Order: sequence, then structure tokens, then C-alpha cells
Amino acid sequence: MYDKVKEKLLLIVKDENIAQELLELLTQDVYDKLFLDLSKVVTEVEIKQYENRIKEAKSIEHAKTIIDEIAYTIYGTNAENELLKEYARLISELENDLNNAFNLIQKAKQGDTQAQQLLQDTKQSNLYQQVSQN
Amino acid sequence: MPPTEGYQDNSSPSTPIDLPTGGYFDPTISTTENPVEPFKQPLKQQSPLPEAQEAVEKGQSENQPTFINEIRKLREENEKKERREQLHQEAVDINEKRNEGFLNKDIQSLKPHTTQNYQDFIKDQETISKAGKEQENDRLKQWNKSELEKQDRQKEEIISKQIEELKTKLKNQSEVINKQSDNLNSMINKIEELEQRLESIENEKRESNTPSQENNIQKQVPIIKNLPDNQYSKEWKYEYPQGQNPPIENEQEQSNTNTQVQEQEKSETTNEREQQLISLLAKMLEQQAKIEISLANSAIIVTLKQKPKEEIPDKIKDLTDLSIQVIFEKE
Repeated sequence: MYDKVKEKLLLIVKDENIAQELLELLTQDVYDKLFLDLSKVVTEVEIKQYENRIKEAKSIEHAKTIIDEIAYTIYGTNAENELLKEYARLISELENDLNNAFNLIQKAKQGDTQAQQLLQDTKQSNLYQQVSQN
Repeated sequence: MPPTEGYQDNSSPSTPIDLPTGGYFDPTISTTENPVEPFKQPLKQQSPLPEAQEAVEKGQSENQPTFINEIRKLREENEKKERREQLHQEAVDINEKRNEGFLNKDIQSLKPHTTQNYQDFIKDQETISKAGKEQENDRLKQWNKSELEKQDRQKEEIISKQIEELKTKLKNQSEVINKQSDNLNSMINKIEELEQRLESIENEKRESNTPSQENNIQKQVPIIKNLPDNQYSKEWKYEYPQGQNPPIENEQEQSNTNTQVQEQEKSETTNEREQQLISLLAKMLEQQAKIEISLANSAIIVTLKQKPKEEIPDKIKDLTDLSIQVIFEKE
């Protein structure tokens, strides 16, 4: 599953390292949703048990098996497709974000004052400073 | 032809021959004067005159050919010739008679037998040649069959190899085509989105722009330079023509902008995950659009901050971080 997602990302990104980083970031969002859904169908004790099992996983494959088991618990036989759908949604959002950002920059270059103002204000924000420092 | 009667010495024809007078041979008589060989003496005593005369005639006739001799010779020759021809004719007649009977008899008796033999011979030859041909045909058929089977097997092997090669090629090509089609689809989607955006932008422009504004404001497109991030925020500045202030296009839009900035300021207490995402997307934008990282960063921040995000409890976040750490072997 992860390989499939990475292949799709590579088609967009064209860079192995960036694709890998992006895969991890997207997986965070997917897992957030997964565990959030899990919390809706199981108790906190069971969630804690899953957490312990993941901690004590003997290998990466073992950990992946536990994640698959959680997905099966929530979504049933269609678990993998559900996760892939979530990945696809996030990838689509990313592409939209990139396009939006690109359009904003194009507007600013073409003399759109609103876009220029927006970008200039953003550069003075704390978030921009944090990101640029990293 | 020499005369057979008596002997005549022609060596000295002029010398007279001294013949004995008596009727017997007296050995006491000297023969020195007229030597005569005793064995040449004629056994029968004849009168010397007719013999001599005949001898003269004969000698004359032989030594000097005469018309009579010629006639005689011709006659003898004609007789001999006629005799030979007669004998030859008689022999021919006899042969003809004999052969005629023999041939008639044998041809009549042998003809059917010979024809039958010949026909049998022809039949035999035909049978043999037919059998031979059939045998040869069978042999050729057998050979052809085996040869054709062999050729078929070779062809099948070659074709199966070619099919395998084509399959592998097709497989590789299909993989490439799939990848390219994915690329193409993503590009098409992007293009469609861009077209939609372009249309909406154009519509917005049409709605917002008035003729007086278009005439009054002459914009100068800024040249964005490659500057380090820290310098960029200080030095990048939009250049307007002298004597002109930045135009306020639409009060409503300006108020929207202000609210967006306020929202940004509110949600600036962001986590590391979001910062990572922003910087990563900015890198991608920088690579794809060939623009400065500072500009990309700010544009991405603006874009992401416009979207409301679902609140995730800390417990879930911790579980997610743990899972990511294990699965992607992050230290």
C-alpha cells in the first residue's frame, strides 16, 4: 500500500527524498483519522493495548500488520481501499494547494496588489519566521 | 596353258632333234653325241611327223594369239559365266523355296506368341514401374510427413519464442504506458484546474475592473531576484510609478484580506508537522515553478491557512507519531 502511494507521489514530485518525506507527512494525517475513527469504536483501554503492541513490534512488517488489523477492525474487508482513498484525497488536496500557491505568486508577479500585500504580510508573520529558520 | 602332250625343248629350236630309231632303249649306246634324258622319252612310239606338226601348230598358236584363240577363250569364259549364273540361280531358287516354307511356318506360329510376350513384357514393366512409383511415393510421403512435422515443430518453437519476447516487451511497454498515462492524467487534471482558475480570475477581473481604473493605473511588473530568505523579506518591494500610491481595488476584498491575515496570526501557534509540510510543499513549488523558496513559503502558508482543520486530540497525535516512528524507522 505504502509503495503504491509513494509511486503516485513520485509522479507528482519527481524527487525520491521529497516523495518519502511527503509520504510520512501524509501517513500522519491518515493515521490521525484512523486512530480517531478507532477511538469511536473501541475503548481507551483497547487503544492503549494497540499502542503497546505497536511499541513492542518486532519489525516494521509486524507494526504494519498491527496497523492493518486496526484498519480491518474499523473498515472491515475494505480496509486497504479506505486507507488508499484517504491518501488519494490528501494528495489531491496537496495538488490543489500547490496550484493555489502558484497562482497566488503569478498574480503577485503580474501586479495584483492584493496578492502582493498578502505575501508581504505573510513574510512578516511568526509562522513564516519559524518555517524559514528551519 | 602349257601343252601336256610330249616335251619340247625350246632352247634351241633351230637344232634338229636326233630321235632314236629302234623300239627299245639300248643302254650300251653312247649318248654323248645326242644326249637325251631317258625319263623324257615317250612311252608310246608315235610317228614323228604329226607330232611335230601339231607341236608347230601349237607353238605357233600359243606364241602368236590368233582370232580363233580369242574366240575360243571368249567362248570358254562365256560358258563358265553362264554355268556360274545357272548354278547361282539354281541355289537361289532352292533357298527361296526352302526359306519360303520355313518363314511362312515360323512367322505364323511365332507371331501370336511374340505379341503375347511383348504385351506381357509391357504389362510387367507397367506393373513394376507402378509398384516402384507407389513405393517411391510412399517413401516420399513418409519423408515429407516427417520433414513437415520437423519443420512445424521448429516453426512452433520459433513462434513460441517470439510470442514470449513480445509478451515481455508488451509487459514492459504496458508498464511504461501505465506510468505515462498516470502522469498524463495528473497533468490533465492540473490543466483543467488551472483553466477553471483562469476563467474565474478573468471573470473576477471583468466584474471588478472599471474603465477609469484601467486608464489611471499603470502597473510595473516587479523583477524578483534570487536573494537569500532573510534579505528577501526586507528588499523585495513592489515598485509603483512615481506619484502613485498602491490602489485600493475593492473595499470588500481588502477587508477579506485583513480577516485572512488576522486568522493567520491567530493560528500561528502551529506544530512541527505543519511546518514540515509547509517547507516541503515550498520546496516542491520552488522546483516545479522555478521560483524563490521565500516566495514559495509565504504562498504555501497563505494557502494552508485558508483551510479549516479538524482538531485532533493529543492522545491520538501521540499514537500517530509513535506509529510513524516505528513504521518509517524514524529516530
